[in-house]
Amino acid sequence: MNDLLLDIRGLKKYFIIRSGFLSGRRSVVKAIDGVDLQIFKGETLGLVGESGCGKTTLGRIVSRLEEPTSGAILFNDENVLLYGGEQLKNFRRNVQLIFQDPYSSLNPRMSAGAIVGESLGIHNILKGKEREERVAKLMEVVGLNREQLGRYPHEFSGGQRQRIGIARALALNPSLVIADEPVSALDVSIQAQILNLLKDLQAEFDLTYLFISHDLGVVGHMSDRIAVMYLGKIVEMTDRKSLYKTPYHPYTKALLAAVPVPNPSVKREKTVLKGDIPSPINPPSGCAFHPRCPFRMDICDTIEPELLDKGGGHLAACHLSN
Amino acid sequence: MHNILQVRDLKTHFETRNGTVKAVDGVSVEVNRGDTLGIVGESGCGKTVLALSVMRLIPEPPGRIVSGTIMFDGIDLLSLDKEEMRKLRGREISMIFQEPMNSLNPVLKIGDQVAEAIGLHQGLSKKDSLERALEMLQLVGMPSAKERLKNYPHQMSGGMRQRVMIAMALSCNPRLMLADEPTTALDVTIQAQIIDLINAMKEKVGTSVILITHDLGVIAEAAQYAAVMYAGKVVEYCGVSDLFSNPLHPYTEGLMESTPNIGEIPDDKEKRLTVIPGTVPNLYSLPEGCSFQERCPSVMEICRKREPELKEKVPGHQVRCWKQE
Repeated sequence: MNDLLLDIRGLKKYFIIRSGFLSGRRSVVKAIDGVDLQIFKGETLGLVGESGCGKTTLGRIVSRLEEPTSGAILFNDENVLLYGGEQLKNFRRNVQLIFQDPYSSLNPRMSAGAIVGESLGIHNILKGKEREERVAKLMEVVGLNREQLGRYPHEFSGGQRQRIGIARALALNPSLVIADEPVSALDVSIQAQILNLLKDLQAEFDLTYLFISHDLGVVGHMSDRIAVMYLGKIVEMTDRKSLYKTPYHPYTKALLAAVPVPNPSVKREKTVLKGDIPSPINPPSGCAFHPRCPFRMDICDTIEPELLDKGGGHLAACHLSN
Repeated sequence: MHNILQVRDLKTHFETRNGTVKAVDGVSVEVNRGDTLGIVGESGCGKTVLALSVMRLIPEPPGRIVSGTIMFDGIDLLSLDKEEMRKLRGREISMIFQEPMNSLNPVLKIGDQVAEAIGLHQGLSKKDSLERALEMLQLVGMPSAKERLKNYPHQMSGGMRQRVMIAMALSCNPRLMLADEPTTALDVTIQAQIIDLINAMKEKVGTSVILITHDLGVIAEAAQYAAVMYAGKVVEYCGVSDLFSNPLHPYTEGLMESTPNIGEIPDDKEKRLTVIPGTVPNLYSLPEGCSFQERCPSVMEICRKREPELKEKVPGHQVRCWKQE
């Protein structure tokens, strides 16, 4: 459990946006702005945040679908950002993605069997009968049956399609699986089935998960440790128990308070955050959360708080608790 | 009269190449004045078709309201002709949708869009309509509302667009508002703002609300009564506190157990969620008997033969289940 699998250091990703026709005005979106993150073998690291906080970009960079502006990503102690060619191909065998939308992430013109087996062909792993057998096995592992191999995505329900996406991710025996909102497009009853499947697969194949979601209930149920992101930065990170019991950061508290509780006798605390998430084009100075923060102090306007240990490995970036 | 809306035995069916889909099949619900009725269910259970039937916005063909009555404050909506219904819609009954981006006109300014309905229904001049539109935007908490009048939808965030939709829906002080998954496309902190806004506006404007959602948490926070729908039928119907303290239908129980709750983060990470096995049945070929039989943990012989009726088990608490007979 304590072996480091992935070590992200000082990761930044800036997107340049040209606004205005011909004027050539350029502005910078700081999608990821200095993220340090460690993922250990066999654990599930949950990454929560609202839309636009950079969580998806982080997942895409880790899988090298996107190149960062600066920083390093060490996978088994090697900086994967320096990889190219054969090395990169090998790395991608080890890191696989599960996507949010089971409708748009499967090629509608390929059969389920072809989708799941495609990567085996690309990496030249198994051939002919053996590959067929492996694909059929994978289908069964994710709870589909081998008779469905010849069917096309439109013949499956949303939950079944997500199972195909999971089988595809598992085909190459990866060590790290990045699941980007894997259940948000699914109905409640199907969501629970997929979450259980992900847990079973983790135990069976020794998988490590980077589990990205906006749903605090789902993340709490799935993760060992949880990192909360706001405007491209991690503002709090700790094990799941203390995140829900003793949240430090006012943003985490507000997120937790905003989740509707399925119990009418519990009245939600009205610390409803005012305003919207600021644009990452011109993020607020100092602590990026200060315009929405109910506990703002003068220092928050100018000086950005660091992510510090508040005791017992509970990290938070907030002046209030310093 | 106590209730503002009374739906009786409503059946809305769709004729398709593969046969008849009974999207809403014998639904009876009521909305009391000033209350919010929550309608919960998963995709395809008929909750949106129910709302569209009340609005008389079912595309015909392929859809058809086969039978039933929809009484709105003493008027049978199903007996109205197109013109009469059009006058009611927007003024007396309004609706907000899940995707605030798709429901606003991208090439019209926000102010003009909100003012349009006001001008149409209240016969106000362009200037007065805009004035009223500004009032409405301020009422729903739109920051710098005056400048926002001139904005186009793409210049606003999802939460602000939903505020515009709510301002538009409430601009004529309707007696009933239907909200179809109004917060599903929004982030949690914005969702909380919009739920509070709907609750507050209900008080201020005195509108009754039908709130459609798949999220039991939203129901608990915003509704007084709830109807749980499954495969076109209401399977449980009661006050919200009864629903959560004493769920009677196995589907309702299953929904509650399968939702990960932040109040109950398990100590053991290996703990699995209790699931409802299988998937929603195909509406083209529903099984004989109870629609939920294939997924039910306590299915009995009779469930496969005869369909249970929606019956009052405890006063004010109706359930459609043989186990409760």
